[in-house]
Amino acid sequence: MKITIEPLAEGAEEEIIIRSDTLDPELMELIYALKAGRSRLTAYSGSDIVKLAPSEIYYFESVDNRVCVCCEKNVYEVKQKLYELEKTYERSDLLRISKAMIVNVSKIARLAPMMGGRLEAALDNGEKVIISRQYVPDLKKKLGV
Amino acid sequence: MKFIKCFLGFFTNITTAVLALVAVISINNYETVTAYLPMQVLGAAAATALPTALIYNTEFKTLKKFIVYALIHYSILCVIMITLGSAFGWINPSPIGIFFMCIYVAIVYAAVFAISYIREKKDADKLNKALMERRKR
Repeated sequence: MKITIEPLAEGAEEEIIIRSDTLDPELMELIYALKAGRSRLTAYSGSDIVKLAPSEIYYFESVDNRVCVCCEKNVYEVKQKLYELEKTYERSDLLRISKAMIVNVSKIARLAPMMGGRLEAALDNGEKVIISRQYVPDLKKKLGV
Repeated sequence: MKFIKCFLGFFTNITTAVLALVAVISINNYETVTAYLPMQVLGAAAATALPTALIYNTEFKTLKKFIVYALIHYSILCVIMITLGSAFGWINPSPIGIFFMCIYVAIVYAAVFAISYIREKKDADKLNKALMERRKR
């Protein structure tokens, strides 16, 4: 695929034009990833409000009816429910891995098998999360295995 | 559908492990091998695959819970196999016969656990390879 980047005229809005005869699944995936990548998530830490890009997110975790978003070093709270986040980021690298967790697949450094068909995912920041057996097929699908 | 798939997977693994064990045991005991044996092995494998699939579909959050479930599971399998073993004439329903049946169940249990672990390890390796390729892109 040829990629052309042109300088932006003064005052013009950034724009991505895709020239293709067919919108195959791979291309659709790219479009959704671009869209999701541009939208920033509002997260809270005490009185501070931060805007997070999906690429900064390591995982979402639901604890006691509160949803936390974990980044490389910091943890924030978000207002959305886990199922809402799952829906928002369904076409991105964020994948549901258990009833209480959504992980960014691109942050998984290594996977190891555990008892009972589960997988332990070691993330880039050194944290480890558990992938439930029932979500392992979704991960396989996401990685094309 | 998932449960049936899981049940069939365990049924296949258990049948393989039981047949291997029967083959080893019958080397010096030809007289114990009867025409009914294959059907008996299949029946025993089905009877033990059912609780195994049920247990397998339970989520274990901690290692402690997993060990407790594994012990309960092993006990259930021993009861099933002692009952079927007595009915099929595989064991004498005496303390020594029951003891040996518990040992055989433990051997099959360990073999099936090892087979499952090897499969899961292979899957994890494939996923790790896919993760690495994804990172290169």
